[in-house]
Amino acid sequence: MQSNNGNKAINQSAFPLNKLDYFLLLILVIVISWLYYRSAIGVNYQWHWAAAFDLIFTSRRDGSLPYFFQGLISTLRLTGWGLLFALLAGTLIGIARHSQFALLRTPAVLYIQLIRNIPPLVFIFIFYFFVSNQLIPLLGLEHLLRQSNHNSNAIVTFLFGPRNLWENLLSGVFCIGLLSAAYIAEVVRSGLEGIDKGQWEAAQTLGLSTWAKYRFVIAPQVISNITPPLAGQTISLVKDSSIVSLISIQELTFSGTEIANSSGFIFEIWIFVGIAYLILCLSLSLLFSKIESKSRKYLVK
Amino acid sequence: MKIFKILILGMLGVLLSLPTSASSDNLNQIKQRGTLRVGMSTFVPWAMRDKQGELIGFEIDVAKRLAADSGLKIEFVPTAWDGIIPALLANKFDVIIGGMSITEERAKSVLFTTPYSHSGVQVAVNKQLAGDVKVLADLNSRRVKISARRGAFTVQVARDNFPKAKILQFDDDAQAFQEVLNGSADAVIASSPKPEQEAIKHSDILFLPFKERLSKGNEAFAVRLGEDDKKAYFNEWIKARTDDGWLAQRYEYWFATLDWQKQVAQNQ
Repeated sequence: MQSNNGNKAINQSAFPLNKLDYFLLLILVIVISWLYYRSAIGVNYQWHWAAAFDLIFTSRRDGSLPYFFQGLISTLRLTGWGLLFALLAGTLIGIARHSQFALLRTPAVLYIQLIRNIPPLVFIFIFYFFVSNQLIPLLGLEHLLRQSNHNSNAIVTFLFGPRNLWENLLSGVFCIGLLSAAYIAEVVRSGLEGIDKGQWEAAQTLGLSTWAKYRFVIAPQVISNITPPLAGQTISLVKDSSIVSLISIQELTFSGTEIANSSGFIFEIWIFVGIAYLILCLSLSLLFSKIESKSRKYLVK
Repeated sequence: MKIFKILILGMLGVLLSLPTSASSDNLNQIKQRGTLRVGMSTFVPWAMRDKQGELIGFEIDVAKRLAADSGLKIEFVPTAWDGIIPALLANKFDVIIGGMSITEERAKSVLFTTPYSHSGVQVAVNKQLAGDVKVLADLNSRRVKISARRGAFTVQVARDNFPKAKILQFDDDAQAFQEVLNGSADAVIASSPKPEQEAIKHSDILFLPFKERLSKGNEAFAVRLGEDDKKAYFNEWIKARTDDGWLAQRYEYWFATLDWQKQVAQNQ
């Protein structure tokens, strides 16, 4: 009875921390201080934050944007078009996967299983070196993308980048688009399967056409269901875009590698690259949480 | 019917003979386009980015001079080193000018010109981990870890000279050197002059145990197999620039002096 009085005093505070909590906090502080101490002496690296920061922001010789930011804009173009491609392809494949007709369902299943079960890097190498080289001449794009020397206007340059990098962009968009389409197709399929059978039947009973059924009954419900996993998939696409630097697409990771190797500021430049991706993905997260709350407005949840 | 057969055979004959007439087409294609597309990779000091993000380096000078002498514009296609030969074969550019050493394996996939530069391969060793290395055999042990750049000629040299050692491969030279500086590898093998320069910069950690370079490499341009017209043209140009001493002078500037380092933000 006497021994309980001491404990009572601690438990009455707003943040009930007991002895175990304090012990764990102490261990955490020790680990972090030890890591910091080891990093200062063990890593053998001279930090040059100011010089690296200056380097990132130095303009090109002809006055255009710094090389780092050109890479960033290239990544934005790549992920923007890649996302568009992946969402369109993914939605169509997801609907095909969900369909009753085996003619539509089987190719969709084959495609999804193929992409999901190969590492992204392996897929990109195979796709780029074997398929892309056959595909681009086959589609007749070779002349447009490689040989022409005409200058293009400002809007085209803004949307697609400099002309000599168009083939680069197209290959990159195909690669990451096809990769993500498989995962988005699964997300869309699970969203479609989550809709109550009663909704489909009610739409049928009301005599709505297929387009009207999807547009007014199914799609609003599917969209609000799949927005969280779709957000995750989109962010994954942005991060996967860094893999295409290995097939020499001139995006942020590639530019970062070149700058880091040329200047010798390896860790600083890589940390800046990481921060750039972080900002990009956080913005996407915020955008998607807004979309999520907006799509839930009219539904009873 | 007979005329039909003759016509078909005639057309077949014409079609079969077409590829052989393409032997001087490769160079003509480039001249028609007006731009020479050169594939290279970031590799200090062969090619690198200066403070303003422009490409500078020995290879860049060579390529620019080649284009100027041929009356062509130049376009650089920066490519990851591992994939540079597949990219050449996929027609992404016309020639590789990137300090590519001539090796038998590579000669199976690409056509090399005559060498235009000769560099060596050197080893820099971590003083703390292997400070007692004096002869080549000291590094040939199962407990030794040597870091190198993936896909580079230096990996083969390391395997030939130190077969028992473990070779750690990295995407870039910078990472390979960082591994030795951190103490995770005993030695790094790379093309001169990088080991010499790094040993001066980090003289408290690295040292060069061997005075002689391990292997004298030959670097040449690489074009696709069968493009003999381009090879002949480049050989002529290389001979001309070697004879007038321009190549040697540029090599001297980029490899023996450190004057260019002001242009690149080196961590001095």
